[in-house]
Amino acid sequence: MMQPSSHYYPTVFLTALVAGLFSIAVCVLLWVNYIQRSGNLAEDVPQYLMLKESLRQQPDNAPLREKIRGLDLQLRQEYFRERRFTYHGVFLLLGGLATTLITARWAATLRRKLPMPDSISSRQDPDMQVARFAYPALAVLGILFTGSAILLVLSHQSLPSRLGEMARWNPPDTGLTGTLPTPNPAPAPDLATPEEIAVNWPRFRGPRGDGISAYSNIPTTWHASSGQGILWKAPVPLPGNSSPVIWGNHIFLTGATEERREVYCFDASTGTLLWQKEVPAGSPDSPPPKVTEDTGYAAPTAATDGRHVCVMFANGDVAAFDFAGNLQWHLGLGTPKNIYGHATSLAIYRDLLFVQFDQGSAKDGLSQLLALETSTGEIVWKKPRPVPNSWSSPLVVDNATPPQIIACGDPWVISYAATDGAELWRAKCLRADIGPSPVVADGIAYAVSEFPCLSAIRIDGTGDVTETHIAWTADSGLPDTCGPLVTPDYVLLLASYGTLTCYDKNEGGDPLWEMDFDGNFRSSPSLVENRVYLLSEEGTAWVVELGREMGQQIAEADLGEPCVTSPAFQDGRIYVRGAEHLFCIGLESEIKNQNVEGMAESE
Amino acid sequence: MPNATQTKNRRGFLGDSMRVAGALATCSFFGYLAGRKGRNRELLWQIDPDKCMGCGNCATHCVLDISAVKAVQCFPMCGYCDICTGYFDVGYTELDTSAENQLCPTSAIVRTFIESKAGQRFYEYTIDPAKCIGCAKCVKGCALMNGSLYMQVMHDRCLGCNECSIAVACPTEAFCRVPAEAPYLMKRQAIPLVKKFSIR
Amino acid sequence: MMWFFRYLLPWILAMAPAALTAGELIPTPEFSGHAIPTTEFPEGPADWRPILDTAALVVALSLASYFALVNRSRRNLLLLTVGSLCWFGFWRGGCVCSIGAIQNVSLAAVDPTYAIPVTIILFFLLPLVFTLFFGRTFCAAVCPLGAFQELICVRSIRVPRWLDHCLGLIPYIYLGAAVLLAATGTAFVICRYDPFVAFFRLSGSANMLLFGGCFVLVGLFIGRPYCRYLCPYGAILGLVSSVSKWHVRITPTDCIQCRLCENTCPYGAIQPPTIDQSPADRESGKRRFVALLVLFPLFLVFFAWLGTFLKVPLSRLHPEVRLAEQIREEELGIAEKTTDASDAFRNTDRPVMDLYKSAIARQNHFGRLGGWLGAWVGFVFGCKWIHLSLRRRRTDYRAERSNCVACGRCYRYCPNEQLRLGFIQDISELVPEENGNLKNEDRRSKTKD
Repeated sequence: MMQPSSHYYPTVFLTALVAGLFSIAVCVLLWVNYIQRSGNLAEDVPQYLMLKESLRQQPDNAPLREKIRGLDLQLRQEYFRERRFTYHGVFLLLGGLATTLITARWAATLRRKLPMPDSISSRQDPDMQVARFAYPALAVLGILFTGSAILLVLSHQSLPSRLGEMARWNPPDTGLTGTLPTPNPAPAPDLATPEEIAVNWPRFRGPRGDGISAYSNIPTTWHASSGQGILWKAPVPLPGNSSPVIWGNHIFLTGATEERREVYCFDASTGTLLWQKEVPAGSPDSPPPKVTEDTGYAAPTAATDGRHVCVMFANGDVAAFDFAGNLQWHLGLGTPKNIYGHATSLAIYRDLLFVQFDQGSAKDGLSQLLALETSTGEIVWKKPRPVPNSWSSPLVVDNATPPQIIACGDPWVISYAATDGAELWRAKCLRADIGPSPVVADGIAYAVSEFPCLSAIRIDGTGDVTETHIAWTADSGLPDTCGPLVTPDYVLLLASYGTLTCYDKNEGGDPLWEMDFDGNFRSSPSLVENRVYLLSEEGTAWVVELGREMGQQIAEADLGEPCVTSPAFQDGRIYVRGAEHLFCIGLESEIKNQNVEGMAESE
Repeated sequence: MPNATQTKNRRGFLGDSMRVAGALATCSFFGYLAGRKGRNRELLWQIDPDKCMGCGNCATHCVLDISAVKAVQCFPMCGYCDICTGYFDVGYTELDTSAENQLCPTSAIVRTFIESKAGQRFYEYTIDPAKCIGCAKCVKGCALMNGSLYMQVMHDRCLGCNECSIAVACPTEAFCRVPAEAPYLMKRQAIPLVKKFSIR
Repeated sequence: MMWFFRYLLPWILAMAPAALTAGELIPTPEFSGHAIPTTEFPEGPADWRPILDTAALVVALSLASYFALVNRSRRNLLLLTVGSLCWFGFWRGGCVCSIGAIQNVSLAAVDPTYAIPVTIILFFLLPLVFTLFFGRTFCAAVCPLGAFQELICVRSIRVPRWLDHCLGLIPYIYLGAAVLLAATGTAFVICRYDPFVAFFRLSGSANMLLFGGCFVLVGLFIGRPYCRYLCPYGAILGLVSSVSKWHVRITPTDCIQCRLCENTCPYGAIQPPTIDQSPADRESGKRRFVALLVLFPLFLVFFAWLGTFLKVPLSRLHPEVRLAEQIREEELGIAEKTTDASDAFRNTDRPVMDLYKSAIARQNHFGRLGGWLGAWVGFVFGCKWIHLSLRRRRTDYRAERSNCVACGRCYRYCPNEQLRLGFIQDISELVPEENGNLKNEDRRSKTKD
């Protein structure tokens, strides 16, 4: 070992060199393979996904199907081939490295110099020497440590510690149980009063979103074919499934096709189209929405605060007009990922417009609830929602403290503080596709979907109230689209296949009674006094008088064209949108007084 | 110099006693730690299927190139559905075994026709562990229905890292250490069903 | 309108006539001629594996101690090194290992619900006991990480001793941090930043491989970089080794001060004899020592104070705190999108306030622990400072007890060892004479080039 045998040296050195170069080559190949392969499993390749998507649209395209299968096979083989490559390559690399090391060490041994101590004259006390350099070095190390600790602290503080903020709001000694402080809303000078709102029909299903009319003088029968009971009817230029909203003498409607989105304002007394405005594209780059025929491009119902009318369309565009038809603002939220098309209506509380923008799957994390200022369109707050796309509309509960906004999704019914979006409570009681909108009456929220049940949830809870605040549930006659109707005594459900189911409002459980109607229903039921108005898809309407033992059909009417929207009720009148026209249905007495001109004009 | 030797001996003895005492003290402390819980058998990593949400991290975060985590089928929990939401892609065009209709990116699920009863066709779905890469797509799909497909750490492949890399990345803290004598878990809901079928 | 209802639901309802509510299952059909199979699982590791591991450890430790102290054979140690690397490294994939066991032990000491396996306790304890009697023979040839570095060290460059002293502090600090994080159930950082485990398993993430690759590159030229400048278990063993009963001796008999071994240790563990100081130096040394003793508590307090500020960064390592912050940011609308963890949290029944409460408690806890960690860092620095100013007379060349890993390289350089082995007849064949000339001129000429 001590005696160098140098004639081996060139061979050993060369071997080490070759083995080293080989190892490097293998290493580089493995690395390249590793980098190239990241994420080429069939499901991650965009081309594959695109092909699959196009197959979905044209399922009978046989060559396309063959192409997909070929690509799939190729990608799979590639995936496992790459894994095998790595597996074998690693062993090659290991062998190469071992050879390199052994030969390199051997070479180093052959070339090793025998120890030769330094000359004695250069020697000082070794510990002194060490100490001389070590003290400053130690100081430098200490400063480095301190510095990096400070840097670490600073860098983590500059991202504001959200928890710290929490702690300040809720000091630990108070037990963190209080509600979050709500910032005082800025004094809004020009807001509609609650009384004003109550006598109008400012949003989907009326002032409280419950489909209950404040008026009692509403006609019960009409026949479009004979013109009986129809005050006027006006054609609506573009199709749409949105329902009318009313403020004073203005009726607002929306209509859209894939290319064009419009807002209409009708004169309530005569049916004259006062103005018709196109909504410019809010985000021109986003792809056109894909909607089913059933949903259409203008399913969300508009909402008005008495000063502006806010509208939304399937492509995620939100806009506001003043009552004279001037565009106030518009905003593109981007085309939502929605399998049937966006259908959620808007809601307003004071000067805030709520957009429940549920989309994609829950995992996508795209769903959110936004609050926009009605006058400017500025986003006041937004909250992510842990739910997939849904079609239910949000509900404002303004007589609760704090005012709540309740939004349904799969599986959560979540209530947010209207002013700042802080979550108040949530309940897990819905499943799959959520269509019906929630309703609140007397401190109880009623949330329903076709699956699994209707739940009555007390709205005074905090946190997850699934176990604690569900007063009762019921599971027969569940609707997939129509919202529940909550009267002072009963809760009524209208299933799409025409069954009206009545429950006791306080107990739920088994139905009190059921009634079947010969029609399909997507229009939500409405209540006038003790009478329920039902409108079928085929255009037939029924009026049912409620009782504890049973409901009694008191009238049948006919709209003359299909109808999937919910009616709006005003003093003595019903406004309802059919497939092509907006109808105004009035009392016989009023019609007698009216000139026939109105009819002629609107035709 | 007898004195010096004596001192040295005494010091040596003292040192030895200190060492033995130290070693004993340390050993007894660790003996206490070991004895506190009884049964200190080897621990292995496993997924609690009731907590697993099928996020797919198992496929990408394992230190192994092809993950040690794979999907398994709990047959007594399976509905033997014709339209299996764990087998078929949501956008399936036909109910067959062709690639474009399958959810599994590696075709690791074998669909076998079993029986036709009362107008319904029943199929058995079996995971081929050699092909499964642990992406959990089928687990997520199946969760829409019975949830009989679930993820488990396969102990013929798991290296038993002291800190499991997937556990670090797991969003639901579903990874737990289980005793080596019972290294697999099942869903709580499955336990009575498995018992019922094993009795038959 | 809805896909689910149109296609799936009628079918579900057909399957289960009774209304299917959440949580209910479609029953498994009763087949006429097909038995419901049972799920097959691959076998877990055999019962005897941990026993075999422990036995292997005991055998390896005994052999290493024997080879290093009695047999004094570098070759045998090297063979054992290869054996240990293959067994504990490549075959067992680097787990279980004594270094990582620190964390399990810390966790077990704090968390009574964690049933620490006996194997892990033994892996932590046995090397300690052996070190207490024989020095760091575990590091020499048993530890797979040490073995790996021992084998890849092709040509070593000596690190200046002052730098060695400074960098030698890092393992203690790392130890403190690792124990803190393990005991709080936050993370096993030693395992997460184990540079060589990816090589043992022949696979690993790109980051792990890169980190390991850097250590390998450095390790080719600087002996055992991980053992000396990072390994927390090495720090513990070093302390134990400094009071060990027996220890590596360079010379089998008496040191003849030939200085041939002086530069042979690639790990800088050989200390030359001291030269007596002048009285003036001694006086200033004493003054410095006293000053340091006074400053020591200040040091502790300063670093402890500094450590309390680490509350936020430290607590962010804990998954629960991260989750709470994510949820909060989502609530405030700051977070771009939700994460898997936050989605999963929302699907549980746990109230968000409960999460916040727990996260804030944890953060405060980390504030206190950060203080302790800071105090530990201060303590380590202070001790090093004092240690440097303490002087001990040494007359011989000898292996420093805490740094020496008993690799046995230096033995053969000692003329007395050569004599013992019978390779030379006379010491003067190897030892330079007073005038610097060797008796054997041939050797001289070969060492010169």
